[in-house]
Amino acid sequence: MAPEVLDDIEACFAAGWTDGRPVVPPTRERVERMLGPWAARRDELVAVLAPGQGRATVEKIAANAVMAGCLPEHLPVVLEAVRAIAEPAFCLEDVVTTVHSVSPLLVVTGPLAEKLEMNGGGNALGHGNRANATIGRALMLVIQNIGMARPGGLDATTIGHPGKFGFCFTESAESPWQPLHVDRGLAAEDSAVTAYGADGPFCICDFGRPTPEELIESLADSLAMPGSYNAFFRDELWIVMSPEHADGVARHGWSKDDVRQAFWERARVPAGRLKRRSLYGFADAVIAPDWYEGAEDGDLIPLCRRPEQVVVLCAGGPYGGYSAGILGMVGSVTRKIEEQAL
Amino acid sequence: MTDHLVSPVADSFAPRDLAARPQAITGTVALVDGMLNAKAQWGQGILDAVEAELHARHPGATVERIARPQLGATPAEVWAAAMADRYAALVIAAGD
Repeated sequence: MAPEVLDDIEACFAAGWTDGRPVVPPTRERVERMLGPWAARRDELVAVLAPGQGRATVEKIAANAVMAGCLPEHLPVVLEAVRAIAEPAFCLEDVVTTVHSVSPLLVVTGPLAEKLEMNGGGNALGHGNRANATIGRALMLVIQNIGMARPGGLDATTIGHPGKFGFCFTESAESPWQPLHVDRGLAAEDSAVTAYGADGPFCICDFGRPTPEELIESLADSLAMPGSYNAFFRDELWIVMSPEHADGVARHGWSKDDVRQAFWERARVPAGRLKRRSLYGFADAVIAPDWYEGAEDGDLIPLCRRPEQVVVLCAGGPYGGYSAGILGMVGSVTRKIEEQAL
Repeated sequence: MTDHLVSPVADSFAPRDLAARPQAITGTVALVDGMLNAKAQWGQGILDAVEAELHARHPGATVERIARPQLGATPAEVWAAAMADRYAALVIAAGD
């Protein structure tokens, strides 16, 4: 590597533009290459991003995508992801400034995910795939450099979250069910990105040959934790089922709706446990949730208000009785990726 | 030196829209603690200071301490509309 490139990388560190890891320096040439056909729209405002109210133009987003290591064909996904997190339903300001450990998670679905060779197979939620890694990283750089939610500054998280380096994957090609964007009313031939304010993934293993009911009970029992935000706020949560687990319920004729309903019925925490444990202090000193008044100790409090708030996906390698639960904040937003950009 | 690099940092910021500040307040001003349960007596000190300042600046105004609805019990927009109907102004002490 040429010494001047190393100097540029150090200059990016010095300017406070990085996430703590080296970035690709956003030279004019690299940003122009990233913009490609978007160059004519470089000044177009994509979104205003909380908490800093920074104006995210196409060119500013492209500069962050360069730094993240994106390829030009990744840019349409990053642009749409920025629009998704800026929608009021995502509650960006809450997600990126809270003391809680939560980070925007992206799931890209549809033909574009395949075209970009995104990983929905083994290690889908982990490292090793360029599109997964750089699209997720680009969004986080946008949040810190344009939204101004910087660690140690407006990002006030107490513990933090490894997903803040970037958290992005696609669904498995082996999924027995339709992809997430079709669940949300888009056509199968559309491509879309869904953004969710996510806790870290919680791995759940079940190696037996359980019935669908038994498997969903394993997932529900594992996630019904009194210390989670979901136990208190009862917002959306995600279940990422491995192909082995998904096939295990789908071959019995179970749809995603069946999984949602069964999980919702089982993923509950006794009110008494919540009152004495995680909520002790919170409900007394902060503000009580709607279920709190009058709840008997034995009442079972579901992790979500409604079964529809349980989002079911399929991702991961072909073998292994593992799934992941991803609890989180508020609700996710799905956006169709602009067709003209594909 | 980063002059030859395209800054990834926002170079303009959208101002937040602020509600018009009334010159005078008559009627009842509601004081609510944004996060804290009034029963717990946390954070009421800041509302004590606001109340004192309101009495000094707007002697015609009366003050009422209210509690936020429980989480999830009332949609935010419904509660906001009810507050707008009922009070001349609403002061929320923000917290995290």
